[in-house]
Amino acid sequence: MQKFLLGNEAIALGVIAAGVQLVASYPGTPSTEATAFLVKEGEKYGIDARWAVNEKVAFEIVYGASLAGLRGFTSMKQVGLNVASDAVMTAAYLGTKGGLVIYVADDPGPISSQNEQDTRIFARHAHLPLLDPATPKEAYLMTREAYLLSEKYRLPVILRTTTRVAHAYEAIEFKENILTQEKVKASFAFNPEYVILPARAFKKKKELWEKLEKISQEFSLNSFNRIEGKGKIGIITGGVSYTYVKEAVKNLASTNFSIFKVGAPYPFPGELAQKFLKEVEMVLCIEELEPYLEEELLKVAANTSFTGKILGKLTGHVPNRGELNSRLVYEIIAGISGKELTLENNPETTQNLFERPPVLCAGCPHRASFYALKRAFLGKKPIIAGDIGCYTLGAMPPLLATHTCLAMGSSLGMAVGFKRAGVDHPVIAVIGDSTLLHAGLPALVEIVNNQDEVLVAVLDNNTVAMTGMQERPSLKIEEILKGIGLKNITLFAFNLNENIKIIKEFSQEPGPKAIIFTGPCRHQEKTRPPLEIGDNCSNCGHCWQNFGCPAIIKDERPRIDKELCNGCGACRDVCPVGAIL
Amino acid sequence: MNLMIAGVGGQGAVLITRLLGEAMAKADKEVLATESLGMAQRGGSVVSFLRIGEEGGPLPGEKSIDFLLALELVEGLRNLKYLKPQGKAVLYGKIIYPPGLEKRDFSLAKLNLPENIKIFPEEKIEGIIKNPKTVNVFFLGILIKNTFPELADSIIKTMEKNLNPEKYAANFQSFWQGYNYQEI
Repeated sequence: MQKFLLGNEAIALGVIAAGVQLVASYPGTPSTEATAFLVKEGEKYGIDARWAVNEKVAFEIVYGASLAGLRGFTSMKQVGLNVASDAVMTAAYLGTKGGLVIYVADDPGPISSQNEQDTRIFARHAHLPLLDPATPKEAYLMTREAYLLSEKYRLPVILRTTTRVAHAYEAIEFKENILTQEKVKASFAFNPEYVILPARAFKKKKELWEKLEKISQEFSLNSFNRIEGKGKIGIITGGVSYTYVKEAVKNLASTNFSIFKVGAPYPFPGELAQKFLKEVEMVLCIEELEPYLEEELLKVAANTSFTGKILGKLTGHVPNRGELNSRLVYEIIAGISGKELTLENNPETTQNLFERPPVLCAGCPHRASFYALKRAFLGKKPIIAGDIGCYTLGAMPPLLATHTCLAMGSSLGMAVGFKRAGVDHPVIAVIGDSTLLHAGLPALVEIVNNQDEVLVAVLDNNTVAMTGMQERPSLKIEEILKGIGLKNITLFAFNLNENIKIIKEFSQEPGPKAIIFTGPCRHQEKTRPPLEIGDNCSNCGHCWQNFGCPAIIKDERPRIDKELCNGCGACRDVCPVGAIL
Repeated sequence: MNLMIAGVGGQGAVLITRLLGEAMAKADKEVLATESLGMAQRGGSVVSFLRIGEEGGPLPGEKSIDFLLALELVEGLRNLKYLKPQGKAVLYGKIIYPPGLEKRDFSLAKLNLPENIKIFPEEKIEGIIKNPKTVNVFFLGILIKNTFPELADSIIKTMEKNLNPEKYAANFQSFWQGYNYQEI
């Protein structure tokens, strides 16, 4: 029967079918649902699947399992791979035993990330084979293939998607039961080869190059890499872009094209590329993110007699940022092949529309924490370093509560930098509970060790909220801070007025210090009756101008939207005349 | 056929996309869909696309949509550029303003929309559906009536499977009220 599956879920089913026994990951859009599915369903299939504290630890866990002979799986978003990279880079040298797949979801756009990095470039950098599915269906097949490849060459294999594969749903035909492989009993071969040393790295790198040479040859024969059709105009493409190319070529039926579909782009299938270049007079490179296929093809072309043009991002024919789509790819290919556009254009609608950036939810404890911090430091112009999570949205109007955001955990180090640079402002670092555990703990040690005059504000909602309420390690933040030697107090985020007073006092104390703001995520809290604005409202506008809860609607007089308000009550303290009840 | 659903994070656009896709898959239609997840779900603009029997990529691009459903007026207007010239759109007239934004004039006279773009006035909804949390499924009924009326039963079965009994009962009612709504 047909199942309507998300790409990430199809990958999870591939993991189950491959007989994987250990899964550890850190959530991150657009990768999250793969491991989320396994955390929920894994037990049935004998899979130990858990959320780990960060991507590096997650990779190390499954790498350990691999050396013990088990198949392992870890998923992460593209920037999560940066966190894991220290271990991943050298794992390529040491090699694996049980099959090991690192699933990385890239985010062209970007839609939910801080950058547009391309994991195909990382694979080349790390010397790890990479598979790049075009559809959820192919993602399922490639997941299974990745384990065979990993065990054949004893290397971790990267399975890479982009948003429109990871977050595409497709009707996929499945047998009712996925036959799972027999489980392996862990056994570790005590082998000195598992210890990396400079001299061993030199030796291992030779083996690595030899493996990659073999895989490149295999990739020229692998059906994930293939030439479709026959025409003078060649198109090289991979991942989701392939689906757009196929559609465009179908709609441009009067021209013949040769499509080089690259589903296994690293190590690049050079031999197949040479064959492709012999058949065509020019090549168009259609891909999202970096011009990876374009560069690889240029390298191959440099060593052949090919004299035609190779067009793509480097020549300005394909956008060098953002997502592609069917219409756009059709226009690019039609333009290159000298076709008149057959698609009609609508006249643009020119209404005065407003932008709608995401906002902190009604009832979010972070808004209350930000508001209290800002009020407590009113007139002192603090520099507030922000971080990654829902609370990144604290930077948006009207709160405008944070002034920087760089990467997971960066608020802390940057705050230290501001202070040591000698700025004249108080310096605050704001960080969420999961982000602190993920990438903030070393910076806390730095702060305490050097007694940097930084106020750390931990926004503790006891979950990884942004990616969909995954569990975070259940350790108490307060005890961790105490253990490190960082003086701290805990405040319930929703007691605004009381908190403002306490923060004012506490921030006078010398040395580094931390405030833990606690309060449950709105999505894990029962909805209480909505608040109302009473007749004594003076219509001063303070609530909607400064607090910015989406449930407070600006009409002739402010009113509370009963559907949005979950009765958290924080705005009671915001109103100067006590009109919110 | 290409469908698009637009709305504001939290309105349930993602839920009806899934119901629709799953019902299509059950009815053995070839369906590919994609939607905004993650940060956009926090009250931002949310869109999803469903391509049924199209053999194409997940994002169809501008001027490609046969039927656009918008659960909020401004999100509907913003996405009219995706509509085919002969495509049809149903926009719920409710306007959700981002926190702190002044009201603006979106009166129908000023918008002056062509025949193929219909607006469902916000004030009408209260007289029709009982539970305001089922507005999305009411409009799913309208969408189905206009696109794949033969799939109504498959949608109902999918809802029954995916929603708890209490929610299912409310949504069942709203779906048929949308499906049987005559004035659009």
